Amino acid sequence: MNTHRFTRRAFLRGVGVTMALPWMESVNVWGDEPKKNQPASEAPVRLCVTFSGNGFQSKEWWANGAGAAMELGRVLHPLKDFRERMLFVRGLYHEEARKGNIHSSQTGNMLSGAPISSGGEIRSGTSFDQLLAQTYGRSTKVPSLVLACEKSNPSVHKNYSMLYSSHISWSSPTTPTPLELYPALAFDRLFKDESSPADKSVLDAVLADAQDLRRDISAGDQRKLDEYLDSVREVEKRIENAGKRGELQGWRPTLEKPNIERPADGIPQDIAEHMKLMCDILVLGFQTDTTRITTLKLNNDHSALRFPNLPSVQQPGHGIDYMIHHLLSHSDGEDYLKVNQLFMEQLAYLARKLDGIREGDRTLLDNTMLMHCSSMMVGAAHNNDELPVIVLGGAGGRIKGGRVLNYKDKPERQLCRLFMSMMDKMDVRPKTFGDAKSPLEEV
Amino acid sequence: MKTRAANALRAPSRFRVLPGKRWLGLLWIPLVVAHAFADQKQVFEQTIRPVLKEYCITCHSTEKQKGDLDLERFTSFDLVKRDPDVWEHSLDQIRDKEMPPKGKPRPSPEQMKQLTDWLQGTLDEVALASAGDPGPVVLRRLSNMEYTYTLRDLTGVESLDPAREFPVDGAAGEGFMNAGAALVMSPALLQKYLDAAKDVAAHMVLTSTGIRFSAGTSSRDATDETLAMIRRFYADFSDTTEQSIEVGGAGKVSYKGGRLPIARYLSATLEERAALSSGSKTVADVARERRLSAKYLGLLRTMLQGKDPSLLLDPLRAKWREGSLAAADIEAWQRALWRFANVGHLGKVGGPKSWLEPVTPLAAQHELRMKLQPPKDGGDLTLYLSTSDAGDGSDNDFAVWENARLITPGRGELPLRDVRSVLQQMTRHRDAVAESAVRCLGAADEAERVQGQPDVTALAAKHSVDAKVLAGWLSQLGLAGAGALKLEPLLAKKTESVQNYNFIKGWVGDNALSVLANSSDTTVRIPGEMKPHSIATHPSPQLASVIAWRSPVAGNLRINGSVQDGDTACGNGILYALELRRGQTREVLAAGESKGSAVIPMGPFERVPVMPGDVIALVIDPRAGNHACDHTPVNLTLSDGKTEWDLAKHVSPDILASNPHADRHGNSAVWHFLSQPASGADAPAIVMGSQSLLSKWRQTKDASERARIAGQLQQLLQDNAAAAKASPADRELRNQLLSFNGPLLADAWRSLKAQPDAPASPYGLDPAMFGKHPKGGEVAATSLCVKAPSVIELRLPASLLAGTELAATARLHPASGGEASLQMQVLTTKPAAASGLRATDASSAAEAGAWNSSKPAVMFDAPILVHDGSEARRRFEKAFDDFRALFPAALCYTKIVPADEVVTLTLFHREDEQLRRLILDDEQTAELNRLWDELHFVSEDALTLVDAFEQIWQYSTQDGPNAPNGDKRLEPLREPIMQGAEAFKKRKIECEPQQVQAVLDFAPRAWRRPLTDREQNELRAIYDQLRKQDLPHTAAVRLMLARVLTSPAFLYRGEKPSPGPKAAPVSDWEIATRLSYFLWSSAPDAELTQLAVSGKLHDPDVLTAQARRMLKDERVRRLATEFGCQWLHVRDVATLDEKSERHFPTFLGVRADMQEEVTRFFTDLFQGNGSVLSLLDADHTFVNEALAKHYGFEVKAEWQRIDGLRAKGRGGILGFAATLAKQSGASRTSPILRGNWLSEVVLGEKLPRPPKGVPVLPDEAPQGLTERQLIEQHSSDEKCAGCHKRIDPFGFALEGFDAIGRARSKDAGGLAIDTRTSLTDGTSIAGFDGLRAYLVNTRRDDFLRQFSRKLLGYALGRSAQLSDKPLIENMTKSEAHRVADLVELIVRSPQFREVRGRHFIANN
Repeated sequence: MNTHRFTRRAFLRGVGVTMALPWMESVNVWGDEPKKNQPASEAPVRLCVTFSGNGFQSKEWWANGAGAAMELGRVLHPLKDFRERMLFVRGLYHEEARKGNIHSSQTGNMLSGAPISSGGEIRSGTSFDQLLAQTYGRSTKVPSLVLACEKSNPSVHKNYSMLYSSHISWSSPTTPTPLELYPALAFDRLFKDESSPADKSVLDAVLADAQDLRRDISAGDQRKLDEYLDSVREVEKRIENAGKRGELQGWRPTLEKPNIERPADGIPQDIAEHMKLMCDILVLGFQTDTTRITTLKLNNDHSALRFPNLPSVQQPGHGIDYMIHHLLSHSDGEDYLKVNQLFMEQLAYLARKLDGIREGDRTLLDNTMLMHCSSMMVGAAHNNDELPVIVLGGAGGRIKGGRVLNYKDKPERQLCRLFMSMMDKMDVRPKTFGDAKSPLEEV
Repeated sequence: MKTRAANALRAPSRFRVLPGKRWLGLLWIPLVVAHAFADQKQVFEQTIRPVLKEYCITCHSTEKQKGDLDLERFTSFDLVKRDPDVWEHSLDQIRDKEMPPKGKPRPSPEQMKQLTDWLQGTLDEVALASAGDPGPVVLRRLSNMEYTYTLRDLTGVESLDPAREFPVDGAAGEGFMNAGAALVMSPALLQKYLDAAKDVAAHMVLTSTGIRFSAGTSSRDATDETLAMIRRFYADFSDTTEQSIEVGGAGKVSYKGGRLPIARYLSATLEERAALSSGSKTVADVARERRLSAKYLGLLRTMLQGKDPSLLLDPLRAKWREGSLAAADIEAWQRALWRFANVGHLGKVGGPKSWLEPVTPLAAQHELRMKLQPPKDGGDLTLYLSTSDAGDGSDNDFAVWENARLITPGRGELPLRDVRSVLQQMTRHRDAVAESAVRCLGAADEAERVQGQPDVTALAAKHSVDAKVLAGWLSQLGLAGAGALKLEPLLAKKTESVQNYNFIKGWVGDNALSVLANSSDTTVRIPGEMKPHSIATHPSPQLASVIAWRSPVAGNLRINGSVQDGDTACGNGILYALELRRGQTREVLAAGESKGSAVIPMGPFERVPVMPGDVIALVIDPRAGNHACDHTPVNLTLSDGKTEWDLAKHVSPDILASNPHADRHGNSAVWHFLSQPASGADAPAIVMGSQSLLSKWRQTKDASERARIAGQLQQLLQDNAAAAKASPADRELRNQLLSFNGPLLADAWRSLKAQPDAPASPYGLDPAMFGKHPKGGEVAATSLCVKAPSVIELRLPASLLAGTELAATARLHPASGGEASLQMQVLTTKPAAASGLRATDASSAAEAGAWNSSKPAVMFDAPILVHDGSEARRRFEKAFDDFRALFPAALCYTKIVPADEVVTLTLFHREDEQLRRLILDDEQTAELNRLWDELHFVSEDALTLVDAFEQIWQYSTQDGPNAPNGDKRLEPLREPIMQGAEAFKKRKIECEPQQVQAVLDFAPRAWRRPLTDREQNELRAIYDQLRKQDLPHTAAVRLMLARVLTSPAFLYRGEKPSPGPKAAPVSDWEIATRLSYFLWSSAPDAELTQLAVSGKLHDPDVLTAQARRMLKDERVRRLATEFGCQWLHVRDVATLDEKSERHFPTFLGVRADMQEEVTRFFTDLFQGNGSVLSLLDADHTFVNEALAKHYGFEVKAEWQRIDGLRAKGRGGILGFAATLAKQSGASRTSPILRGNWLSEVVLGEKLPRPPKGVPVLPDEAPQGLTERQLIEQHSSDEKCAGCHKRIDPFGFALEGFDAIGRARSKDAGGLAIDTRTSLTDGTSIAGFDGLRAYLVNTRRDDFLRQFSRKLLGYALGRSAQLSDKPLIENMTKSEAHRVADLVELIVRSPQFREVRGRHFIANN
């Protein structure tokens, strides 16, 4: 009999504080036996895509073997604790990314495999993270969180807009998803609930404006205006959902409210600190189930990020004028390796953080697909006939880690097949995606 | 199908003649225009298809589609025409020799030429056929900068930065951030737009007439802005200088602005007198030229030319006629006829009525009192008893100086009549005293040697001197016995604790006068600091504090003291003095001022001889009568070698034991705490460098030495000449001894008797002048009666002056009659004339207690004396009124907020009647009234006043009449305040509809088009809906504004296409928006909007005229940054952080200036309609001091244009530090980057894509290689050479500039720079000049074409396309290349003025 009915809210009221509950066990201490085989309390699968530009050091991105015995190239050393939960995927590529120029046109379709327009036009394809957000992400307050640690470059390079270099996430073929660079604003996007019924009235009104406007404009303009319409509806939905969270099929997130302070305004001076802060926020998004899909661009392709505080090995004493990401990618030496590792350390930080949060029998990392990729293999060569990709985490038990998957000499080695596999783990199964027609069976 | 544009081209006259009938340039005529499509078609089928088939379609077949290119599908010429993009691309590939690829068969050179000619011809034909196509312009969101500029322009608030944290916009089209394709929207961004709109709405200020915007978001900010607006308004019309005015009861107050700028008006009337009288200028002309008020200038001139007799104005008119009337003449009377009152007291019962109040210097009698200041040279003082006729004749003007007398404290009153005889007696007496000095000192010597009290009478008889005089000497010498020197008044009141510290106790007087002791081990603030076991003292404004040690011993002392200003947060510091006092003598050992927290030591003073009873006194003076924050920690230690005295140690444990306080050696009454009158001085007393004869006499015990000194002393007293040469100490001694108050003569003064007749003397007045009327008859015996005009000279000796006042009652003799008027005054300088009217100075009596004072009496130094109720009085009153009517002492109260008042109910005081009456016209008055209304409305002071009144009522219950029930005098204020608050609440509600309407009026400006009725209703509806949701009016009206600013109509530049496939002109509103965002990156201004409203903008001439107007506006600076800087890739140089700080430490400091230079150059180009070629060959640029230094030019001060740049090897975009730095590495130059930039960005060349796997250059050139050689090595790589041959030479020519754009002759490695190079077309050039000449001469058209293409792409927000080619060619060929002409060609073009049809079909 259910004599002790504890709602989570009541429990929290009783304790009198806002605190993280270590999954369901905490209730068990006070209350019922856990019910066996409750499918509804299964935690959802989350997707986190991280990206770094300019490829990796030419000799040190590799993995051999399997499970705990897997050997890793030095770029990946910071991730060695997670090798049993890592897929090292080799040999996949985007055909369309090989057609244009370098950098921009190699990057704008990173997550879609779509053709890219040159000249003055901006066109790529909807990226798979956004496709998931549009079909799957509706059940959370924020469908997806798209973050970045380097601002984009507003110019055109070799006939391709630099937008492509800095946007891997695309809400539609013509809409690169705007990036949030400010940790405080990313935090607000997840947790700020200042929107009021009055805001809703404003949004209703402007939505009507847009619908009126739509009648009188050309088809091309209509498509552009639809970005606006969709955005208004999305924000409205968020306002509506603001008060109604936590009743999702019996599954409850481990945290109701953020357990860290809102970050300070502005952008941290130190790049590693910036990246860590962004990781903290996206973990918080997962942990509170405010969002299930996040994309974090650590830097742009053609990146001008500088690492003045990282002492140079190759040119000692030449920090500030030398430790620049794009430049280092071309020098392809020990210094670039150090920068690669700095990035992988952030990934390890993120994985460790996810792994530290228990959700039932698993950890949050087990319930996540954390993919890291770059748009070229080796920065110095701009080569992208095989792309560097790893996937960490277990997708709720649907991915078995500790493996190297090598497609190098196989046919049908579209990277979009991996994306189809990953979407499959989240129960989204389009017939085709990009240039792929089927998922990878091995994943 | 023919497009409208094609039709246009066939009717070229539409394009040729521009306003002003100038020929702007040739129409672009393609070379192959003679060919018809028919010919091209024939050539295609006969010649081209076979070539394609043989050399191209082998790879680019429908089946293979190598490089995604299928040329096989072009089976007919029609298909070719329909897809020109493919062929444009192909032509580029062939011309760049990319195709056919190496190793594949190539057509013969002849075939190649046929092919390219045909391709070019076909493309030109297609271009011409589709010329003017508006092109695919996708719906554009405002870019972040456009959004920001638009909001700033709409609100007028320049500090708004709503897109601060928005994601960076992308670039598309021709590489600018205003292309729709790159301007995306997302939920996150929409949320930001909503938040930003709400933030802008928070800057909205609700006024009584509608809305305005504020830089801040609080009502305080808005209030301050309105206040500033009113003050600016006042400043426009009044003198803005700082001045000091006397405010009733509060003394001198510094006040800024608000005065009548009379000097400027006077000089206008004087300097333009001829022009005005001849009629060659009107008053209005003069006023306009001199920025004066015509109204006042007219009034002033009328008065100056006026004929109405006026006692006061007539003399001014006379001076004006002779051209000598000065502002000072008027200001003197302004001071006499006006006074200022405390604003805080207005409205109180018995209080002043206004800040500026008239006063009337008329009186029936005048109590004269004058402090006599002894002349600095110690000589005589001459006074002039002046009686004037007050300017109106003197027939009956008889004046009485009644009871004229000298008053000296301690010496009684001396009638002026008796001065002469008293002086004569005293002089005799003084001579006798001087003559007996040696004998008296002999007696004193003897007195000192006897034990106990000397018998003065016996001694006097023995030495044949006057006993009283001898007593004086003994007293002066301190020989009259211990205790003779009186130490008083002692502080008598005790305080047992200070600030609740019961270990701080002390002796106190009034007004903070005190000596306090801290008996504890704790440092406390009271609020000045009290250290443990210490003594501190505090003077009062009138009294200096004195801590005196009276010697219980005889001996030689060592003296140490210290003094410190213990409260440095405020106040003007203190003056201190350490004195040795003995008898009547005071010797200053140390003196100074203490200001600032340092502890000032005094001494040590060694071997200071003292007798029992002598006093060492420490005097703390408030300095200039200001005792604020004069808490002064002090100490004093004395030692005679055997015993030590320490003030702090002896007194601090038990200061209240007694006053005087005992020492710790068993002597009672050693330490004394007393006061003496404050010096009033601002600077410390002079420490006498030498001792006086008398102190020398005292120090020696040797009889013969004493006799010698006594002789000198007697000579000092008797001989004026000797006195003049004496030391300061001796002169002081002489003054003391011979003073009528002094020890030797005071007694004689007391026993004097005045004698009725005195012999003639230079001093005083003849007693016979007193007591009689000039026309016979008597007046009081001590009164002096004269007939005006009269000046009586009165001479007084210095001996009579110290501390003395001259007093008299000045009045009209009763017999003078009703017409009489006089001005009676005692002057220290001889008046030039005894008749005439003089302005009198006025001062208010200072009163205690700011709130209690209300209308202090005004005192005049020379009032006009008239009989009460007399005709004369009325005449003067009239004259004063006439003067005041034209010359108020102030026009307006510019302070508005009476912040200096101690207590006030007035939040804002408006007093500007004089300004309105004299200066402002109706329109200006209306504006001022509006501002004041806004101030009250925005500040809501009517409501605040209610609270303020309650507070002041509470305050008054502690004080004032009938406390504790509140000050009755405040009662009349209550009702108006309460009523005002009620009325305001009502008014606020009444104004709500106007505010809603104001937002409705704002919407068309924001949406850049009129609102439909439905839209208006919907906007109103959201307000109503929000009010129904229980939102207050303010919140609802703000959200209504936020809704306007979140609407797609604001955020997007929507344009309505015509139905069907054809292009059609956009509406007037849409073209206004296009033009405005093109040139200003912002919404149309009022003028442009007005033309759109009146439907005139579709007229190309009107549109062009607007474009030319707008190019001159300062807002064109935005075109300079958004187009100019962005085109040249320097838009982010201000934040460029990619330079090595080690190599270029100065870069960070100058990078923003670098970008500013480019911005200013472009701004000037647009505003001045310069030649586009000046971008290459300008001889001028703009620099500030920092940038000039960077370039090595000599320029001081702010941004300015400099010329002569060619001679310095610079000028134009090639020499901008911004471009040179941007196209360089972090630590070295990069000829490749610079060359590539020049080729692609400046000349518009298309370079093939770089090969993959390019080797990397080291960051710094290896030893022995110049940077250029390093590049050359790299570029000789076969894969790279093709491109590098084209671009590198450009860069080499610019090697004379380092990586941050400074001129150099050596590279970073110290190797000589070589700027000679050979271009890919074989031209040899050298350096910057060579490159520039090449560009201007050989590549002129390429440059102009690129500029035109970029400007067009920016204007249209898309890439230039084939159909734009005719327009671009026309721009390229435009005569003189004036930038406004190019803008005009764009603005007149169909692509700018039209929009594609809704169902546009590509290549129809």
